[in-house]
Amino acid sequence: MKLEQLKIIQTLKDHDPVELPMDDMFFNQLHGRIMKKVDKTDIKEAHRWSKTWVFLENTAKAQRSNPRR
Amino acid sequence: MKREIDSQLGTNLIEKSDLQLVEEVRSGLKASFSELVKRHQKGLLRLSMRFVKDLDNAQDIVQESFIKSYEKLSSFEGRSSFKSWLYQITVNTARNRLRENRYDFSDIENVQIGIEAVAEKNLVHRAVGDILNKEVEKLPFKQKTALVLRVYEDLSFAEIAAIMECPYDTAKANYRHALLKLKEALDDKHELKTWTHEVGGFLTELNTKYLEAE
Repeated sequence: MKLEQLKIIQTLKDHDPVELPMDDMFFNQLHGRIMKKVDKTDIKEAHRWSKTWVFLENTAKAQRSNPRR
Repeated sequence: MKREIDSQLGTNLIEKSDLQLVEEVRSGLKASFSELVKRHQKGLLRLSMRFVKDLDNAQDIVQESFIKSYEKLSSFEGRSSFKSWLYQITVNTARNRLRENRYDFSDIENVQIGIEAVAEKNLVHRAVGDILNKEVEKLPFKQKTALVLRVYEDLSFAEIAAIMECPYDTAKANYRHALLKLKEALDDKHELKTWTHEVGGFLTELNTKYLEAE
């Protein structure tokens, strides 16, 4: 990798604009909020075609990325 | 009764892998999902904050992502890690949110770099950092996603490709294009170039740091 690219990456890391709350209480509250919703939610059964769909999708993707095949 | 079982199992949840926990959730133990939330909520929040800048929106995205992942748990096949799968859901949720709200993630004015000439080196770095951050916001969604996952999350291109649901080479190309655009943006800032030159060259400290490392 070129030095200039490394400099850009390092500068981005040094000036990371995202600041997360550090206190545990914040994350406990977020966790509680999420689990409250999860308690009211059910796991949906996978659609009978989902596996076929995923297979077809992946095959299509592979062909698109390598059109010579 | 179920809660008692859950709490008994809760003691050794920490030692279990994500995939083990997923299996337990599938068999009906919600406490295992609680552990998964604990493990990944911070990472998801950080990732969401990269797309929407305010904490409230980011929290909503995290919550929605966990709910979606819970609902779709039966379709998780374990071909990628659970973390990658979660990140994939979060990136898609963030993108949908941005589209729905037409969230203004390109609130960019021309960057002010006319700081006094007496500026010190750290100010130069800061100005460069600000410019780069603003340019990151201008990047197309896919390029920004690849850049964010690579630079801030230290993920491999294979993981990034899994999250972005694209081929390995596409993930890499998106990342490279993003870096190229940032470099071009810096090259365009002629004022910054001459200014940084006056205080010791463009990012002198970083140059030295990397030359030492090599």
